[in-house]
Amino acid sequence: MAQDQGDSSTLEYTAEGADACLACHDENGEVPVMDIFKTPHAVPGDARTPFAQHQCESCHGPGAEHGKRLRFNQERPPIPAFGDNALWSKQKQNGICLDCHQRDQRMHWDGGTHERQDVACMDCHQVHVSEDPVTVARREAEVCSDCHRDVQVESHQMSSHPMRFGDMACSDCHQPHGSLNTAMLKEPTLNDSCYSCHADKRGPFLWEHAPVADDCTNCHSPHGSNHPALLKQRPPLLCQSCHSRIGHPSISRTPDDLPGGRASAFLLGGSCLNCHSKVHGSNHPSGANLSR
Amino acid sequence: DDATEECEACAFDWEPRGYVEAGVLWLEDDEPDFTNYRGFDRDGLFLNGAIDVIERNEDGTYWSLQGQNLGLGSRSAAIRGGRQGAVDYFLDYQELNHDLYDSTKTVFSGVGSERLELPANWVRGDTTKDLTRLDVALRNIDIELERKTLATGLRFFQGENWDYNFQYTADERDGTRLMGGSFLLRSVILPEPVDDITHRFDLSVGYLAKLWQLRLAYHGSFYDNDNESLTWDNPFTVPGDAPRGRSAAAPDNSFNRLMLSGAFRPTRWLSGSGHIAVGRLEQDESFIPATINPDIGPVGLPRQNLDAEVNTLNARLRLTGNATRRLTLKAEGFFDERDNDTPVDNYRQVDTDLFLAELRENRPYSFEKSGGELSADYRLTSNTDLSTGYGIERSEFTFQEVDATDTDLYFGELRTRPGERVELRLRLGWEDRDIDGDYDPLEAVPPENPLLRKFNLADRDRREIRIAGNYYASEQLSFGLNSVYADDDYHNSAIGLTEARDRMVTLDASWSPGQNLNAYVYFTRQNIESDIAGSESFGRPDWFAQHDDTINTFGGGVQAREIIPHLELGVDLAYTRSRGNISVDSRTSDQKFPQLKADRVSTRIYGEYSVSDRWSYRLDYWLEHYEQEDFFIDGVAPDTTDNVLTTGRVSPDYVIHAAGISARYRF
Repeated sequence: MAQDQGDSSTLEYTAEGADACLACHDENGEVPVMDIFKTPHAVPGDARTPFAQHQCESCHGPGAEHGKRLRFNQERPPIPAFGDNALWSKQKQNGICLDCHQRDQRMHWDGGTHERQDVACMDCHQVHVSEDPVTVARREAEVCSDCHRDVQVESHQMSSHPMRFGDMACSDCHQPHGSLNTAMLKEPTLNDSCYSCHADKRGPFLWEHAPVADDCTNCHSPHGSNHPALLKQRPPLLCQSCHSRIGHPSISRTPDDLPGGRASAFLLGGSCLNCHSKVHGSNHPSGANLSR
Repeated sequence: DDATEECEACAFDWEPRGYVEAGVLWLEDDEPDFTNYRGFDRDGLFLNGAIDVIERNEDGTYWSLQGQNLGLGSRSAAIRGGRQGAVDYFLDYQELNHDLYDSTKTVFSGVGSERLELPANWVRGDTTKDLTRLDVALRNIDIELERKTLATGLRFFQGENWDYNFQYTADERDGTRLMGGSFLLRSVILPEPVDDITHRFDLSVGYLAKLWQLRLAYHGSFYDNDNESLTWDNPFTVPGDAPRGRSAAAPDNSFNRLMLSGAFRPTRWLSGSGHIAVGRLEQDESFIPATINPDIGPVGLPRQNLDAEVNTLNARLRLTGNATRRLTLKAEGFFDERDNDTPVDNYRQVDTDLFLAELRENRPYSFEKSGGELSADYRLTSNTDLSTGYGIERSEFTFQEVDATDTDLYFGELRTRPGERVELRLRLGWEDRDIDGDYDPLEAVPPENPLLRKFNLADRDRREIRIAGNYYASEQLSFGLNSVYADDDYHNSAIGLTEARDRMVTLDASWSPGQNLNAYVYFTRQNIESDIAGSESFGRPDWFAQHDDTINTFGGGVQAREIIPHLELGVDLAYTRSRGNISVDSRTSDQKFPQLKADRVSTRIYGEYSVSDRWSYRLDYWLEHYEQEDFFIDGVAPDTTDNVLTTGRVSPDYVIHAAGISARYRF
C-alpha cells in the first residue's frame, strides 16, 4: 500500500547508465543481478527492451539521486522502483511492466483479482535470473503455492491432476494476469477449460446428463480429492444427492451391504457406475439411462 | 545502441549456453500410484537425460532446445526460436503416463480393442457364484492411459501495433479405463479402450494502441475417436438371454469459436475490458443400432445421427474507475448462453440389449446465465482498505425441474496492515439463491420423489468467511495463516443434498536467511461435510447420511546452496493423512461404514556437487509410503457380489524407494 513519493518529472537519470549501477550492484551483492544479461530484457538489438533504452533505469526509474555521492552520515535515497523502500507504489511499479507487457490476457489485469489484492509483478516474477521460475512449467506451481498453499496440498490427495509432478502447470487452466471469468480461468467458461483436455466429455450427446453441461464442478474437485476421479463424494451418495426415484436409487446403503453381508453391487466397486457408466452422457440410441 | 556501447560493465552473453545431463534412474517397484505421471513403465533401471541450450544474439535472434525426462514416459521436448519483437516460433512435445491400476483382473480377451470375448469354454451362470470357469479365466491386466501432445506455433509482429498468432495442437490418448457393462441387474466391469485424438487450432490477430487494444481470436477443437463402440460377450445367463452387449463410445465432435476481446484506458482514472465469444458445438456421429441382440431384430431410429448443434454465447465486461484517490469502483456484467438446437425425437429403448422398453424423448439441455456485480474499494487509511460489493445472477434452464433461479450476492472485505510486520485480511460473503417459480420433477418412470431438490438447482443460502494473515518476524522469517469456512444450506431440500460445509485452515512459515538458504514448513487441515437425506418410502425423508472427509497435510523443505562449498542440497517432505467417514441413519439402524483411509508420505532428497565450473554430479532419492483402505474395493473379489463381475482390484499399500545419479555438463 505504498504511496507514490516524489515527482517523476523532477527525477534525473544517471550520466553513466548501467555502469553506475553495476559499480555497486553485482553478482556478490545481496541480490545478484548479472544474470539479467542472459535474459530477453538485455538485448539491445530489440529496441523495446530495457537495455536498448535507459538500461537498468528503464525499469528502476531515474537513479541519479539514488546513485549520487553521499555526504558523511547521509542515508542513500531509495531507487524509485523495484528496490528497498521504493518511492513508487506497487501499482505504478506494475505499470512499468505493463507498459511493455500489455498484450493478450494482460489486457484484463485492471480490476482483476490479483490487481485488487495488491499483488505486484515482482511477487511472482524474477527478472535478474537467467530463467524466471514462474515461466518454467515444471516449476510454476512452486511459485503459486507460496500464496495458494491450500491448493497445492490438494495435489497430494488420493486423486489429483498431475500438478505435483510438474506435468501440468497452474497456468494450463488459470490466467494469473487477469481474466474476466470465475477463478481467473483462461477459457470463457469453466467447462470449456475442462474440455480443453477432456473433449470426449463435451458431446453434445443424445442423452445428456444435465449437470455435466452445467458445471463440471457439480461433481468434481479439480485440484484434488479424497475420492477417485476427483469426485466430491463417493457414489452412491453423490448420485443420491440428486436422484431418489422409486426403486434402487432411493434405497439407503448401509454396512449391511458390505462383503460378509449382502455384498451389494449397489454399493461396492463403482456403485451406481457399475451399470450407469456413461455418466457424462451417452450417444447410444438405447442409452437413456446412461448404461450404454 | 549508443547506451549499450557505453556500458562497459554489462556482461552481455551472446554464446550458446546451457547444459546436457545424462544418468541412470532406479525404481524399486512399479506401483501405479507411484509411477502415475512420473513416467516409469516398469521397475528396474532407466537411462535418463535432459538438455537445455539457448543462444541469444545481439540483434534479438534466439533459439533454444529443451528436453526433460528423455528416458521416461513423461518425456518432454521443446524447440523455440525467432527474433525478439518480430517473430517467435515453437515446437513442443510432451508425453504423460496415467497409470490407474495394476491389480485388475478380467476374463476377456481382446483388451484394448472394440471387441471383448470370453474364453471358448466359458460357462455362463445366473450369478458370479455360478461362473464355474471364472478362476481359470481370470488374468491380470494393467489399466493405464498414455497422452501424447504435439504443439507448434508461430507469432509475428507487424510494426508496433499488430501481432498475429497461429497454434496447432494434437492431443492423442491411447490405453484403457474401466467401465460397467450391464444386462438388466447383472453387470461386468470392462476394460474400455481409449484411442482418440483432439486437434486444436488457435489463430488470433491483435491490435495494440496507446489507450486501447483489441484481439480477434478463432479457436477450433476437433475430437476424433477411433473407437465407435465396445462390444462384449455376456458372461451371465439373464432373462432375454442377450449373447452380447454393445455400448457407444464418445462421439466425434467439433467446437468452433470466434472471440473478440479488448481493453481501453482513456484516462488513468478509468479502464475497462471485455470479451464476447460466439461458438458452435456440433456432433453428427452415425448412431450404432439400438441393440446388438439378434432376437429383438432391427429397431427403427428416428434419424441416422443426432445432427446435434449447440450454439454458445459468452460475454463479459468490466469497468474500473478511480472515483477519488481513495475510492475505486468496479462494475462487471456477464452473459453465458448454451442454446441447444439439437433435434428432439422419440427413441425406442432396448433395455441393456435385453428387451424392448418405452419410447424416450431426448432432452437437449439449454441454459442462459446472466448477471452483474457492483463493488467498491475504499482506502480508509494508508494501511487499511475496505471493500464491499453486491451482485445478482439469473439462470434460466430448459428440460430441467426449474425454469429459473435468482441469486443475490453480497460481500465485505477488510485488508489492513496494523503494523509494519502484520497483514490481515477478513472477508465475509453471503449468497442467496432462490428458485423462480415451482420445482416440478421431470416426467420419469418410475417417478422421482417430489421432495427431492437437485442441489445445482435448489434454493441455497451460502455463507463464507475467510481470514488470512501474514506476520513478518524479520526480513528472513515469516508466518502465514489462511482459513476458510463455507456453509451451503439447501433449506428447502427435504430429499437430496441438504447441507454442505467446508472448513480449511493453513499455517505456514518460511525462513530465508540469504540467497543460498531457504526453508519452509506448512500444515493444512481440511474438513468437508455433506448431509444427504433420502426416502425409501417415496415420501418424507426416512434416512439421513453424512459424508465427512478430514484431510491433514504436513510438509516442509530446505534448499541450501554453497553452505558446503560447491554443494547444493534439497529436501522436500509431504505427509497427507485422509480420513473419510460415512454414516447412515435409517429407520432400522444408525450405522457407520469402515473408515476410508489414505496416508501418503513423500520424501525427495537431492544433492548436486560441482567439481568444476562445467561439471557437476547429482544424486536424487525418493521415498514414498502410501497406504489406502477403501471398503468399496477392499475384500471385493471378482465374484464377491452376486450380480456384478468386478475386477478384484485392491487398495495400494507400498513403500517404494527410487534413486538416480547423473552428470551434468554446463557450457
